[in-house]
Amino acid sequence: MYIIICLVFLLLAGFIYFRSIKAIKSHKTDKISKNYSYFAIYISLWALLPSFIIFFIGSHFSNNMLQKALISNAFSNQSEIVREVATAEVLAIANELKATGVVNVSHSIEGIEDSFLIELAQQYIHYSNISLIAFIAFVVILVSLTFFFMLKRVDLSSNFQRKIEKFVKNILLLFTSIAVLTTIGIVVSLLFETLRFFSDISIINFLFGTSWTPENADFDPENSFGIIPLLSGTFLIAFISVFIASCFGVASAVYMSEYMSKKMRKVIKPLIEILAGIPSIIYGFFAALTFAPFLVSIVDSVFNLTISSESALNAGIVMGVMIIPLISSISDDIISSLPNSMREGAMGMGSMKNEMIRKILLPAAMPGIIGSILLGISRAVGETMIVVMAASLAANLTLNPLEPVTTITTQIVMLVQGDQEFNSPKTLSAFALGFVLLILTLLLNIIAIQIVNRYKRKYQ
Amino acid sequence: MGMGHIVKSYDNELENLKKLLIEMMETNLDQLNLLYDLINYKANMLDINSNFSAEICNKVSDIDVKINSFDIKIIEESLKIFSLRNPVAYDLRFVFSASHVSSNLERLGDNAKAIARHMKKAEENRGNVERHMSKEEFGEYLSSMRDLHTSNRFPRRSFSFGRNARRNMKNFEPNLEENNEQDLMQARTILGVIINKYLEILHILVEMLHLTIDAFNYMSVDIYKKVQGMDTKVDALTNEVSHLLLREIHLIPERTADIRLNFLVNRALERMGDHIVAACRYVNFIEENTMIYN
Amino acid sequence: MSNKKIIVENVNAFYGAKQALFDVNLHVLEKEVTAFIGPSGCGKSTFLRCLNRMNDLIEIFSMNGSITIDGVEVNSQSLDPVELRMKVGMVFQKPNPFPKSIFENVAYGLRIHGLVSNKKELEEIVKDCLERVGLLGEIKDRLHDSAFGLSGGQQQRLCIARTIAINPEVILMDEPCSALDPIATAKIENLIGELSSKYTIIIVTHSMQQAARVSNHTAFFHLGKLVEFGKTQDIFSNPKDKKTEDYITGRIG
Repeated sequence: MYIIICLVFLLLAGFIYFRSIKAIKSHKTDKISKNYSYFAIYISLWALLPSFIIFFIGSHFSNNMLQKALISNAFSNQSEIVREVATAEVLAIANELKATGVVNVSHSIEGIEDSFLIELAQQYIHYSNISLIAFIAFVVILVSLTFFFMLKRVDLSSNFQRKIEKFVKNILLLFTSIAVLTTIGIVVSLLFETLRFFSDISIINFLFGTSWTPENADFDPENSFGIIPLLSGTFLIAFISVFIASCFGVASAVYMSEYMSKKMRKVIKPLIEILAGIPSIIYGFFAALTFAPFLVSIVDSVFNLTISSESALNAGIVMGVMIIPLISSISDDIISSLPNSMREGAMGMGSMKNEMIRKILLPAAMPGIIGSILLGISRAVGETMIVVMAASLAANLTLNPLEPVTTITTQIVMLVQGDQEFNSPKTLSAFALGFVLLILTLLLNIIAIQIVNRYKRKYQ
Repeated sequence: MGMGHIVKSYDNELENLKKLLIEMMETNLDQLNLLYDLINYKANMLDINSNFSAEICNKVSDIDVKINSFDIKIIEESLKIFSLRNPVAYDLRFVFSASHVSSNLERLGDNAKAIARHMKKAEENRGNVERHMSKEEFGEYLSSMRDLHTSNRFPRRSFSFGRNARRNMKNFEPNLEENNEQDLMQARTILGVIINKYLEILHILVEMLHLTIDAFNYMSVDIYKKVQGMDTKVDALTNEVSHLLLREIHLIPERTADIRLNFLVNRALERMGDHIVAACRYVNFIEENTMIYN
Repeated sequence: MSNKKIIVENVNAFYGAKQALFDVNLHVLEKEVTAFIGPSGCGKSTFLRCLNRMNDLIEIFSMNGSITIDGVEVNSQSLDPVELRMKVGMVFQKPNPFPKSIFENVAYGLRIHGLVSNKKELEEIVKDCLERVGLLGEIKDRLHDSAFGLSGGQQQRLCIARTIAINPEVILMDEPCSALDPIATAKIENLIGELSSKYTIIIVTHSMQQAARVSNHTAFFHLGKLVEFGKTQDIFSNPKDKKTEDYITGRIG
């Protein structure tokens, strides 16, 4: 069915296009731009687009109306629920009929006969086909009328290239706005639910409370949603991971850009970037199953300290390994993009290579490297899978990396997986946590981008 | 020079400069040819009432104005090339030489103008003297001139004629009653000794200028030696003339004013030879970076 | 009569398989300015960089032949390139000050080579170098501002200042004025004249007029070969080789 629609429209479009080219060629004005296709495109767009839009909107509404008129009214004496279910059944049967031509009579509703349903379905199909054909005919006529109308009325000597240009610009603006508005929409929807949460729990208690015990929400809602332990956990793990990632990342960036031979670099750099593509859940389970016991045994035997198997150190180290490629890649690009004249100037003065790197290259690259570290932090803060698997669920307010901590992201996962009522403070708190996380990462990203841009401006 | 410059307009400017130089030399040649005509005329006619020298003198002056403007133009062009093109090596020597050569040619022109002027003056003077001579005085004058040119006394050189001619001349008795063609010719020969010498010198100078033009056209270094040799000849001839003139002063004191002018003409001719040689010298300088002075 | 500071014998240089210099032989005299001229790609910059082993930074470069400075072979294994570069400084085509303050730029060499023992001495030497290149008057109150705030000509003079701070014996200049306007160029040419009484200077230049103005001796390179080497005034008024003449009069590229 749809194939026929598509074919019809294609034919229409083609017809309009070529007919308009013929029209313009036969019309000899000396001011006409030689580019007939622009004129043809212009006419086609004007003739076809509105009609297509009408067609799609119209056929959708007509289907709805048909459903209502035909089907729902047939069950008008039933309750609302039954009507809804029956309508759904009829539509399902109709779909099956259209697709396979055979009906699976396992659909059945109490109090209504199967044959009645099937009959309704068939009627529905019949009428919807008629309406479709009617619509197509309507649209074809509309399009042709519009087309001839436009041929007569449009000023053939105007600049079609410019009009098309404007049209393209507007389409691009439309798409951009959709992207931007979607983002804003997400934030706004989060905001609404968050505000709902804050209507139950005071914001001060949320932001400054030091105990996070959602299981006590029923008994003592005011004091069970303090975010401080979550923040401390998040940042503890984030800092550990960024510390590890920046040490190894910057060192490997320096080696890759300054010391490695070109051949080796061609092999090693893509390898590191592949590391960045390992799914975080694999890191998570590596952390939980392999690394944790190893870490515990080392700390226990070598340092003689007690360390939990779900410690911040555990999650932090593994997350650090995950972030290494991010920092190393950006830092390598930054160091490589430093102008060669800087290196030559330093070497020409008789510096050794490591002196040149330490005293000239790194200070020059520092803003960019710091930008990449901030990006790493924001990644670490928002990371979910590793902490869900490797960190604990107990909200501990501590700065000791050997103790178990939990993060914002882990808690969101726990809250959303629960089977509470949607409107309870417990579930809504997930929104609030999400909103806090969003703001945090947004701020970190803004700062990071500012720094990286300022650095770029210096050397471009 | 084999290949042209990459920047064609530079080639064009150098070509232009060379053309100006050649044109200037040809203008000088015109002057010399006019002088030759004048002297030739004077050598063949003893008619003292013609306006010919005045005419020639004017023409030579006019040409000299043109020569001076060539000099200015060449200097301007050279300076332009120096400042805008920064010539080096061969091109540098060429542009540098252009203004020097043009300065030599300008002096050549001045000398030619001076000769024409002096000849005109001399003619006026002679006209004044000889117009007032009676036939007898004229006859005596002829005789004394004959004696002058055939005597063996001071200075002890008889340049003008071979022994036979001298003998013939010794026997020449001016008889002004009859218009004997032969006698007239003898008279002409006696009176025109110096003029004929001038003719010879001018002929050589014209030849030298032609050779110089060739030298510049083809940038040929061999021509200079020839021109140098010809200038030696010119120097020798002017030397002879100066001795002859000395003799005349000594023997015919009335003609002193006229002879002074002849000395000036003689000196101018000698200088013209030097100027042409100086101009030609630059071809060697341009081609081989050497200045040859003898 | 100056003696020979740098003696180059039978030098051939290669970038991988491609030969860039063919059997170069020349000598540079002490405390004089020598210019290398020639069309693009003729190997003059390559040759300049051989003199302080800057070509070591390029992986595919190799050379054979002998280059001796004051009798010491430049390419010998026992000679540390760092020491060589203390003696032979280099100024590059595009001014490349370090991303530090003006003071720190000049102090860099002094610091890494440990040439000064206290802060006062450092400051004195830095100010003296800036004075000699004519910058001190212009930037007296901006000494600790970023070097990037200077104009192109000033930056290039700063690069020269930091080179002379470590008191080299030879200064190599690779087209130092090609990125500068005429007045900045003139100031640097003047500086070269003043410096030549103390240092041996070798300058690679595209501009023949600059070579003519600034140098005592000139070497003309063409397609990797040294075509002619001699006193500048001889090369420019009466060159011996026809290729030299064609190049300086503008008959070949």
